Amino acid sequence: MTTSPLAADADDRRDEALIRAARQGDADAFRALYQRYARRLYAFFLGYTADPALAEELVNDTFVRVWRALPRYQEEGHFQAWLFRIARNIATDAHRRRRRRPPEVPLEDAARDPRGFVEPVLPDDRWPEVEAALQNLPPDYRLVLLLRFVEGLSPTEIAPLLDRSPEAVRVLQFRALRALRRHLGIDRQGM
Amino acid sequence: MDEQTFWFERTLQALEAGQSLEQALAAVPPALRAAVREAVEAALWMQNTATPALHRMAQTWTPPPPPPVPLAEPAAGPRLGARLTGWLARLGWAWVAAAVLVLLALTGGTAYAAARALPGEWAYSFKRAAEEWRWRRADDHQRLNLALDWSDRRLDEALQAQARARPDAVDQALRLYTDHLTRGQRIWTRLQAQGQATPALRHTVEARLKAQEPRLEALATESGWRAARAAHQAFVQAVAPEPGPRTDGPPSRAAPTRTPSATSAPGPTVTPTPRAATPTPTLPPGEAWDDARSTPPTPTEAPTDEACVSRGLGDAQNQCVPDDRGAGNDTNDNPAGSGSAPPGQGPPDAPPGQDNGPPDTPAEQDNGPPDTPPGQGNGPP
Repeated sequence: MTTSPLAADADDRRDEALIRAARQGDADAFRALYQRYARRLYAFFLGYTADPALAEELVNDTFVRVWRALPRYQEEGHFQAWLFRIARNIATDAHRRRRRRPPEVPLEDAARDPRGFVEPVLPDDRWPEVEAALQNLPPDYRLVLLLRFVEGLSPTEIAPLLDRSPEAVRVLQFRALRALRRHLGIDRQGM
Repeated sequence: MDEQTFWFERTLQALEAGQSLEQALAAVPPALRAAVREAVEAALWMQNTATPALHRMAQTWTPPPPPPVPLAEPAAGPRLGARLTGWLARLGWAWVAAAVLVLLALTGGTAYAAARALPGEWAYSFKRAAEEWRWRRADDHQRLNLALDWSDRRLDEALQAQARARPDAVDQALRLYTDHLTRGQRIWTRLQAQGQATPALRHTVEARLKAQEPRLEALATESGWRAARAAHQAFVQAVAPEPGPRTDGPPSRAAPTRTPSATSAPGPTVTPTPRAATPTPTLPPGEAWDDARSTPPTPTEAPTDEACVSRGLGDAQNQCVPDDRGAGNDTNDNPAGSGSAPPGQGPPDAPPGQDNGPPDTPAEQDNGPPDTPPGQGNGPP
């Protein structure tokens, strides 16, 4: 989470090189981008949807959309921000769809999903608590907390993803944290 | 920056600097302390509990192979269907539903306006287009019904237009009325030829035509009335039951009558006997033709060949153009053409008075008067 500016800069340059190669049809370059970001995206989508199968599907959707949008990619040096903007749109679309149609596979059945394409995910000890707390939040709150804490983006980086100013992102984050605290019911002494 | 947010950021920085939570919160104004504490506690939970849990689960997940994208081809963007769905999703289904409702309202409004439109009005073309659409999809029975329905409708429109002093609309409505009746009559004759003109159907058509008479007469001062009236009368006469023992049903072949032939002197010529004389248009009882209409109106268009043939008429009096089907009605039986006796009915040059007809031909027809007046079914001159 806490990467030095130099390391981040090197990562960005590496991303740009991979993107240039992928745009020229280099399958290995695109695969490298996928391997580099798939797990981060998975954590983000898992926190947002609480559905391992859906999270995997959304990772796939994100990279399909990344591929389609590569010719229009113009944000030199900001691939991560661009990627998470796509991911945010996909998450919002998925949320809209789920509001109309409840999830077909409950979390506990995900490992034995008859569709067969979901790798079994070992549930973390704290997962039930995390899932319950996050799923009780409104989508905007969930989104800002996941981008801020799970993905480690700063309010300035989050701002364009949410179409808000950095100040507005800070306020949103503060409200989201207070709402989360109310849902957590943490014993203050235990913090 | 919001004051609460400011103190929240300050507290986080103090925690990162190594202070305890209580020490960091001590600097916060008391009024804000509770809120800042809540936010900081939740931030710590996100940082220490939620994030590691999600990362651990992500680490246990094995990413499937990357999506099979066609790397060799340039990405051309989503397909039209996907784009449309995307636009609709962005636009919001509520707006789409509203647009559909507006469209439906416009369509319904147009349909309502069309139903009440008179000739010459903007919505009238919709009405006529809808009628033509139905006409093209109807069979003969339905078309006969439609022709009668729409002729009724045209009369009503003409009366409405008359009440509004719109002679152009009256004229157009009456022209359409004439057209509907002409079409209807043509279909009637076709049904009759096919043996589908049942007595019940005849009665219905007669009744409906009769019901039109008062409205038609109310338009007698309008231009276009004469043609409309003539078409009405012609239809009425076509539907009227024929005199004699014939019943409704498929038209039987006319019994041949031997008449002197102008071209083949030695032998008689077998020509068809008309089943019914062409009726003359008549006015209702007690009504006379005025000066402008001193003679009964002549139908604006002569009956078609089809009408002549299917009605078994082929004479000059009916102004039908005779054809090889009408001459003698024996085309199928006698390919040699009219004027020749059917095979097995005696030699063509048999003397007059000899029985050349079929065995069951009534004597009065068989030996009919040789001086049948011209124009009474003797075929073409």
